[in-house]
Amino acid sequence: MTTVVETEGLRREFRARRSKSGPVVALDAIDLTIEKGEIHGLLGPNGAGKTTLVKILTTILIPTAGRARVLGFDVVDQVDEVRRRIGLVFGGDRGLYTRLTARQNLDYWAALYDVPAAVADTRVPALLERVGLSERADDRVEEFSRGMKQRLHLARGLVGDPQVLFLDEPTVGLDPMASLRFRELVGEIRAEGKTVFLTTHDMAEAEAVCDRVSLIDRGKIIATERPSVLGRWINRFEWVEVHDLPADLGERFRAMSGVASVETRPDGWSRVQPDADGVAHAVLEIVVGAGITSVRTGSPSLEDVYLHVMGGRGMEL
Amino acid sequence: MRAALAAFRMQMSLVFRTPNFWMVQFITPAQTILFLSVIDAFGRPDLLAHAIIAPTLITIWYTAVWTGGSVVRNDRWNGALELHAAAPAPYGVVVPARVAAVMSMALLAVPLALGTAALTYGVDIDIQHPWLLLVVLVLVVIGTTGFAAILTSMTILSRAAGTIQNSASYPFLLLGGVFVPLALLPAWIRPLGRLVFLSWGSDLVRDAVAEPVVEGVPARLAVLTALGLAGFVVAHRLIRIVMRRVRVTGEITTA
Repeated sequence: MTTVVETEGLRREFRARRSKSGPVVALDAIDLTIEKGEIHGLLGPNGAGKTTLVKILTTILIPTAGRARVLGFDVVDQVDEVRRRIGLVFGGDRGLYTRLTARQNLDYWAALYDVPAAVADTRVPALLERVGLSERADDRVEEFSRGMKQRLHLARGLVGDPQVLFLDEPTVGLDPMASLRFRELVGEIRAEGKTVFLTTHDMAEAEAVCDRVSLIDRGKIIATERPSVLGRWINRFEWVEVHDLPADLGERFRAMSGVASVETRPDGWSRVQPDADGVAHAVLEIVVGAGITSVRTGSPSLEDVYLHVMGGRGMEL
Repeated sequence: MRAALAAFRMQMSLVFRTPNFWMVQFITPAQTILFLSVIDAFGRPDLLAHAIIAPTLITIWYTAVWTGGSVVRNDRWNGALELHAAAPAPYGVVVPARVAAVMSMALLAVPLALGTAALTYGVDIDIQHPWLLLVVLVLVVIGTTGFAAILTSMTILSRAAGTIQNSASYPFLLLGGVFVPLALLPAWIRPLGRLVFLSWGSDLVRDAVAEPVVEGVPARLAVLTALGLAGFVVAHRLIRIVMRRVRVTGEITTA
């Protein structure tokens, strides 16, 4: 395998102007490798440092310490080499000239990526066709839906024919259908042999499209795993809530192997929190068997998974 | 060069769809009436040419200042500034080309000033050297574009740059001999004014309009051209330095 992205001890601090407090550490000790042709997800809550890492890898920001290489080129010292080989796509409406048409936007960025005019003449229509915007190619972007804008963003990111594509929260704000279509496009891009680095705070999205996922929180990468492992974490920490849980049943659950906690809230709901595979299912069977019908289950939030993982439990999965 | 041309074309498309970029032209008629009313009140018909030249140059200047700032401000607001920072084409090439696109409309100030003077005060200016006037105005527009690109680097560094640009305009217009010829300003100011390309341009414009014989044309054009092109070189390098700085500080989005 060929390593496409490699970081060692990457650190990024931000100093607030006129602030007497110390610098804010956005990234710390980031060690990461991404292989050629991989879709690598960076999963974390808002403020975790995802966008900062993307900005460093795409040469928008310079790291405070450590080093990062993309396709073998240093992102600080070999900026031009890196920029010629990468594409960057933001989520939302950012980065498009909405008073221009889709075609004009792509023509402009093709020139900025030094795509020869003759090549751009064929590549731009092909990209518009690929993202399903051929019929709207000469309409102003301000008339587009959010999903259409995001697909145009993707086309913009591909116009320089990059070897590595960075997608920063690309499906944020999209409806489920538009998100699904976008993920299909990302899959097609991978099929061409391109490497994709995707940031998201959506566990389901990470599972759906990524080969490997790095969990990041508070500027640090907690773990890098395959999505199937993440899925096991999610299943392991699936909780069961019961309304008016009888005291004896509560004691039984507390004594049960694989149950981390049983907590009752003022609203009468008690949450049984397992920390082992299959325990949620067993708890549910007991509750239903006891004739209780006010019961519900749920998956852990990303933060819940982080808490479990960071707490040292589940790391040996 | 391809990036610069594409940037020019793209900005021209934006200009025709964004009134903000050309509405600054409306200051020309207002300024022309202001200057003409003063000259009329003091009974100085010999200064009529000044009353038309000043508003023209002021409009050219403000078109540049406003545009230079707007290009970066808009790019920052819509997230395109970061995408430009990650693109192979230097922003120091893209910005001057985009400012130049808007500046190509700045010469509209000439017919606007002449038309306003004719309509409001019945003034009919007999231009002594029309071709020289055209050449000088084009050079002034080119030079002003370069200076606008310099000011743009401030906009990359700070969101408050608009205030700085507006404040800086008056000294530049004064030292550029736009309000009054440099020769009428205090002696100690004149050497400073000679460093501003606009002073060479405004003197040449006035001479081309009103003087039967214009002396030292080649040398004066050469100085005007050199100072104007120097602005482009400085702008290119300054934007490069500033873009590097905001990559270090992280102010590319937060400045």
